[in-house]
Amino acid sequence: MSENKLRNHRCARDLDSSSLTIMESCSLGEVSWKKGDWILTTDDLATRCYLLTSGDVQIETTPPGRKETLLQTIHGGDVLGWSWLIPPYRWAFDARAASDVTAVALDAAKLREAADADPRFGYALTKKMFFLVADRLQATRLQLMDLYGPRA
Amino acid sequence: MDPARDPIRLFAPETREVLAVRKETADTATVTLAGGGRGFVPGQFAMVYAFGVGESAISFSGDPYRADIVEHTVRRVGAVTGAIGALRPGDHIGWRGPFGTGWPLQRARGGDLVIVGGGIGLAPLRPAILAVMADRGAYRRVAILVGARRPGELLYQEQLAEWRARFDLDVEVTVDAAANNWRGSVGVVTRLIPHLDVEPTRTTAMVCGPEVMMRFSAMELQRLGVPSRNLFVSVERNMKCAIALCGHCQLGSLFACHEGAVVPYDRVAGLMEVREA
Repeated sequence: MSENKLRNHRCARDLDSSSLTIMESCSLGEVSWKKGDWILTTDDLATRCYLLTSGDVQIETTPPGRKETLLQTIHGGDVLGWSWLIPPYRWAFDARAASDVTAVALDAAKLREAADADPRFGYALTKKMFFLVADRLQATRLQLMDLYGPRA
Repeated sequence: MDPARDPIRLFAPETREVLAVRKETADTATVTLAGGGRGFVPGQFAMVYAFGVGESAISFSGDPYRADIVEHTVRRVGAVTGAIGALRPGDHIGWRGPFGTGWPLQRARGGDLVIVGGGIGLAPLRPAILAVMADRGAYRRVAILVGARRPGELLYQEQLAEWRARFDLDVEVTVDAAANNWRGSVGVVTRLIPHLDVEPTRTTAMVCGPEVMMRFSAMELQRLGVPSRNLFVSVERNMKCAIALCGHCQLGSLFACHEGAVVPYDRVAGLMEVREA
């Protein structure tokens, strides 16, 4: 079941069969959260990568002395988190389920080992993650532009 | 002479009574005027004249099937729109129209339809949404994506809630920034596009909002597989005469008031990337 969900995930859809097989070997199966559950918290070790299959997740941060700030919502079909790929492998933000959420969890250490052992897979994975980061960066830039605000 | 080209009718505003003014957000209001929209099609605009102040091109934002009233949603950004936004029931205003092109609703029939509105850009799309709902069976899946700066700046909030409750519309709303009591989505409206459940090659998309938002929406829609020939946007320029005479609204060789405001994205894609002074 989780294999199907993994293969059909937007992030994995165009991977070749060898890369998919490697990714499946890193799968920890399906996980779920109820609305309001914390999925990950800042500074915790980033041991998993989550391929969201349904629901919405709020990325948040809580600056000192202030209430939590909503940064971005990600949805089923998105990937939650990339801190597991970059030392020191700790989450940079908090994530909370904004609705009931399901995901396929991948073992981050195994993914990194597999990427080191098989550069072809490593390149495919890195491209996927780069695409994801570029997409979020572009969206963040648009957010910062204050598109709908008054014109200068 | 063709009455549609009669210069007196084209240039001389008719007087309309303000029937109602509904506050949408802190700086935006919907003004209801007596008299119909002279058969306007969704996407078109009228020239609305605040007596003694000036005239401004304002899109139709109401039900295209109402023959007794006409609605315009106005954001107060200058002297004219400020004067229009400050109107009260019983006041009078000058009005001429309709002008420009409309959304390709006929062309979209039989396929999937994606409507993307950002900020005040939802206003020119509202008549199209109302027309689609009145003829819902003519379209396959219909998705409406709405973006705003903050939750309090979302237009037509009650109507959005009604649309979201329908089973035959996929309505997603997102804001760029929100306090922590907001339960909806946070992020730019373009990020909702990859999640659309449509058949891309059979999809027509209508996009209205700031030009940067329309450009990135078009990019995401094309990445999803929607052919660029099926993308339509509404371009806003400084419309003055509204009949392609004065050239104030020109975008390259395009007269936005006459060949627009709704244009195929292919027609303006290159022009939208040009840096303007």
